[in-house]
Amino acid sequence: LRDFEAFLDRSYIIENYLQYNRILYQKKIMPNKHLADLKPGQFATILAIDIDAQMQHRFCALGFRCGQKIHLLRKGKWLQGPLHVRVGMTEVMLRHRDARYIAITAIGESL
Amino acid sequence: MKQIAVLGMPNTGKSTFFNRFTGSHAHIGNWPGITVDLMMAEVKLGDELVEVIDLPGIYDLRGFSEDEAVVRCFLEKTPLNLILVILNTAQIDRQMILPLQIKQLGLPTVLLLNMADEASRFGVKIKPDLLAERLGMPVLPISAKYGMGYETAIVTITRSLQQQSVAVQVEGMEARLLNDQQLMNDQEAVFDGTVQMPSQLVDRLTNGLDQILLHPLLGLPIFFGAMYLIFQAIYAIGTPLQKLFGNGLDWLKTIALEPLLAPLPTFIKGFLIDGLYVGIGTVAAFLPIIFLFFFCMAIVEDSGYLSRAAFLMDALMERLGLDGRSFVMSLMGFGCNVPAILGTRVMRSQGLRMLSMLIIPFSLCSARLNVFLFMSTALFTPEHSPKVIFSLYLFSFIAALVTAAIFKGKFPSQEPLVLELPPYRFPTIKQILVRAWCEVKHFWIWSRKFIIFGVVAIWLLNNLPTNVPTASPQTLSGMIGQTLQPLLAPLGINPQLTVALFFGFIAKEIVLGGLAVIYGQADSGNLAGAIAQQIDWVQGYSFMLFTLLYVPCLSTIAVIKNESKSIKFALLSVFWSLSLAWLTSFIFYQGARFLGY
Repeated sequence: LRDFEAFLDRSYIIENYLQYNRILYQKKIMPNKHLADLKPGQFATILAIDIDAQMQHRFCALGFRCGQKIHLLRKGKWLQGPLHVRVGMTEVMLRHRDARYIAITAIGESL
Repeated sequence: MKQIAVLGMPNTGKSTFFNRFTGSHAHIGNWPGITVDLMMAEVKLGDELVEVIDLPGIYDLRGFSEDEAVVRCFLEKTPLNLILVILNTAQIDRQMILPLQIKQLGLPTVLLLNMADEASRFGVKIKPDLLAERLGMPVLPISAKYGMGYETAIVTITRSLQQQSVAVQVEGMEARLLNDQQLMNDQEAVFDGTVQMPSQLVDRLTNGLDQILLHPLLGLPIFFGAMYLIFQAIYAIGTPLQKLFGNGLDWLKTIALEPLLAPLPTFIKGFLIDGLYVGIGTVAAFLPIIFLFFFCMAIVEDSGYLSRAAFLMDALMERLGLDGRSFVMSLMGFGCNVPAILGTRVMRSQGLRMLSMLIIPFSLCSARLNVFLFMSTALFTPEHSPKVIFSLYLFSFIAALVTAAIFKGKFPSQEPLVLELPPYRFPTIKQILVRAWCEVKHFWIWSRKFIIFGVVAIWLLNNLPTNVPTASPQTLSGMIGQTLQPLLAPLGINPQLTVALFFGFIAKEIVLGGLAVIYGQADSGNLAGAIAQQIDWVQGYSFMLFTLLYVPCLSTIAVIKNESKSIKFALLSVFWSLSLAWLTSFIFYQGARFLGY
């Protein structure tokens, strides 16, 4: 039971932290960082997905969720090619310009 | 009859399971109110015959894609006795929403955790019994590819089906589906103590291979090199097989067919042997090559390399107003354009779909490959003919690129692209053979009726009226050829070839069968000789260019019209491909003649 309480506590803190950062992000107090700012090999945590409801479904179905750790594996060098990322157990490619819709925490931060 | 539907996200091995479950006897079924084709099959479970329907792969029942709408429509209109939900065990953390949604709808469900072997390799630990208890539905780990856990799953499915004598139909679906928060809460409650995930995916094989295959500099050369090797291999192995097969058909004709039909009147005998048998036989002889083609494509697709091709090509495609998926669909179009055009359904933006549908018909499909293999063998030396074929593949690419560049302004798209890159997998030999076999069977059944119709029509046109010499300018076909000459003579295409092209409008399979009938020669060696006597290589290549670029077949046009829901767009596709074909052939032919060839 104590484990469960600890778990609840932890998820509560994480949610608050994300909420706080999201507000900073929306008010543009914090410098906006998004997925495309990562360099290959770096990781961060997803803060918000700023896209219409339709695409949000698709991103969500592929494992993009707020609070989820995201890893940039490689970027297509040629003509600013797509990004190859890993979220959870799934590897996904997405375009440079679409990566801007995904706001992230500071680089190297995991929750 | 009781009905079972199979549902799952894309890339979960759903079709592998469906093929194993139905023994690949599936056929296309029609459903009231549903515009797309669904595969279905009858399967014997226990002592009753059951109908199994394969639903399109979807991510979310609340989704907005066409496939998601199809599944919603299907569930609301069709009473089901059981629904099988399939998911990729390694990705259960994000795929659980589908079974949770189905559970909410109150459908009797069996959950299959596919690729269980891969999941345990990646360190995913699941307690299926506890999970089943929480979900209130049987949960079975299986491997559809290797058959592990499959027998147990079938026993459970049979038992669940026996208990479910009443079919359930979903009503008021929209209202009953949960929102994201509720789903997350449900999932957490279900997963607690039953599912243990590693913090992230670690797959050495995939990481290592991607280092090489997605290398910033080497990636593309490796990809095109691999494609070149595949086509060379198909040619090298396929051509002798095709000769052997052709000789066999010939031998059968001389030894059995001719003596057997000898008593019949000349007109009917000619119709049966020189018309039907030779026409169909010439095309049938190419089946081994088509089999090899699909065999190779199945390996490329099932290993996971095809989605890497999308990654490699996306940057260029983006500049052309397309995306990596359009490229993959064009590649699939090298087998057959029709399924490739259906495949564009995964795109949400209408502009992107239209542009992709406009370029796919330029993919050199297997029906056209037959014609080119034949013509290049007839008109070029054995050293040159593989290069001729490869140059046609290049032309096919260039035509697609040029088309996209010209029309991208007319069909704009802002659709974001997110594509899964699945881990590399080794396809099993059996899986590949079954797929290639099904594709060939499909090709044969599909094209047979066109070939028979075309061959019969050409033979009749060549022999009517009966009082003039066969295939002379006085016959019906001679008249068609003469009428169209002003248009095609500048391309170096003679009246005989014109007739073949005319019928090739229906399907490219007819072109070769038609040539066989027009030149009225018994075996394919002689036919090649007859053609080589009449035309030189410049005319031949011009003919091949025209065949490559003009309308692929009536079926493709029909599919384009259906999918775009616009006759205007289908006409644009026809008109554009005809103009491009004429222009290319004209420039090539006149240019070559000008240079003195």
